[in-house]
Amino acid sequence: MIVGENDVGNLMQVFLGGMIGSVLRYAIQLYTGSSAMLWIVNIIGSFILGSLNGYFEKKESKFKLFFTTGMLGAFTTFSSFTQQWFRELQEHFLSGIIYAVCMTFLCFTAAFMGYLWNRGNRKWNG
Amino acid sequence: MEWMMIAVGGGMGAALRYIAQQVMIHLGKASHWATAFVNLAGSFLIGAASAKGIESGSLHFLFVIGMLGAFTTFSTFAFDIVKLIDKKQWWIAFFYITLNLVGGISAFWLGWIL
Repeated sequence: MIVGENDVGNLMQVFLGGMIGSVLRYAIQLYTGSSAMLWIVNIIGSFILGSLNGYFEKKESKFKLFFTTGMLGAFTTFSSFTQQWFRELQEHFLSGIIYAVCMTFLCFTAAFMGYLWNRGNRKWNG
Repeated sequence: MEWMMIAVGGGMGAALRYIAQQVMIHLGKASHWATAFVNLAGSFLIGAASAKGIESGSLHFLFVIGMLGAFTTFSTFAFDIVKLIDKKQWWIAFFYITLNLVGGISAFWLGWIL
């Protein structure tokens, strides 16, 4: 793979966005505890990512990677989710399954609504 | 000091995820397979970290909360599903969700017992 000047800039954007997203996630964790934090960051983060991806389809931005891949990618998390999910499954198998299905469904719905509301008039195909 | 470690770890985790996506695109594959890869790899590593009892201290902030937290992502996972359904790729969407969830919890468990 050829590394160009642009690639370094892109990587820098993602790095800086990732720093901010992670710090914000931890700030919420300190306030709410790690279990509630997962619902908050993942649902809100999915909604904002869906919204921004819709918005950036209408309007190009040089800083798209900073916000999307960097900040929101790092603000939301999957690894802590599987850790929490494992605990839920150990406590009660069925409610553990429901936990993961609910998290996925709510985040998907949030991303979907954000995307539809912000992407303008292009017809939804699905 | 913990904030600094989370920020540096988070920046690195996000950058590594971006590199994984670029590699996947370079290989001619859709970038959502990179999302599945980072989520499975990150789940495996956090499982290993849990088993080792890394629950506090600088390694916890740098590696677990910062790096693994930012390397893996739920928002991109959720938005990948939106895109797949928009393209009416229902079966791929279904497979993709199953891969992330079943694969993620299996990877965690594997990291935890190894």
